[in-house]
Amino acid sequence: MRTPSTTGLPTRRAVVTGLTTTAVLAVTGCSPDGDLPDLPGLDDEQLDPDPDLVLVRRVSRDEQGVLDLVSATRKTHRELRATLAGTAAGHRAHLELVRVADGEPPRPRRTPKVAEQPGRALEDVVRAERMLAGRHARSALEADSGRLARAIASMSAAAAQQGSVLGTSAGEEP
Amino acid sequence: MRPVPALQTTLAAEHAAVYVYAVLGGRVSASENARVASQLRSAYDTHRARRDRLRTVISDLGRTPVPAETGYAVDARNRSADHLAEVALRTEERSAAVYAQLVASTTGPERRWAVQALTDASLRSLTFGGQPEVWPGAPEL
Repeated sequence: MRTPSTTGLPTRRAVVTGLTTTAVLAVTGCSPDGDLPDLPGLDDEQLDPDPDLVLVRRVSRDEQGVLDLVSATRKTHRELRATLAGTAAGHRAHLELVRVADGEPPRPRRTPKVAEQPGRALEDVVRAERMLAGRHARSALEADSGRLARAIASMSAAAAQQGSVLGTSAGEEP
Repeated sequence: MRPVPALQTTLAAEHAAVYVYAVLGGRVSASENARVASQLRSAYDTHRARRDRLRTVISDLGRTPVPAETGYAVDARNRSADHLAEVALRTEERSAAVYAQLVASTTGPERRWAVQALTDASLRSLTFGGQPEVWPGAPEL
């Protein structure tokens, strides 16, 4: 069985530091054991981006998309503000972690369409949370870093929890 | 942690979970608390199936699966459904943490299975009165 590239007790610092170190090494063309020989004509743009960095950006986009929907829903339907407060806070926490790892500034936010009926709007959020859980679960499988995989898997479980709890609020059988 | 030690740690946790749920299931009155009894039975079946799978996986890797302890301390003298659910909730939270570690320590099919188990434990904790978490199984993040 293959061992992931980075294991051990994951911490926020470890997830971020491990990833940014990998990314920095990738873009500078250095290895942990020393400088690689100069390759004539090779510049940063010709190097493949670090796979985990690409993955983090995708996870960040997925999180931002659902946060945008949750935020727009809270803004449109004030009666859902309290119901979705914890949901929004969770996504912000997830984004905080992946954005530090990403190293890029926040992207422009889009304004998703929100259903006019509060019940329908809540159902849309439930659907989005469940889709996010699935996407994160698949992303976790792709991570080279074990620590990153653990963080993304936890984000997937968090989205699944939100889908369950909000689904109950939307009238589903618990 | 490397894959095999992580699998062994997970198996040890599942031995404990199976024991805990066997005790809890024996404490709850199915006639008075049918819902909790059903949830405990479902949890017992799930953890037992995971324990058996882990034994098989570890054996297939040519290692000897860790055995169960002769007994575990279970805080189940209070037979109230609320208390039993609280013990079950703690068991699921520990299970989520163990599977999160297994995610970090494995790749491929075993990681996929660990991700599913982490999600299952996180959802099951809700049925025992838990609240949604920001980082299920990884609270230090």
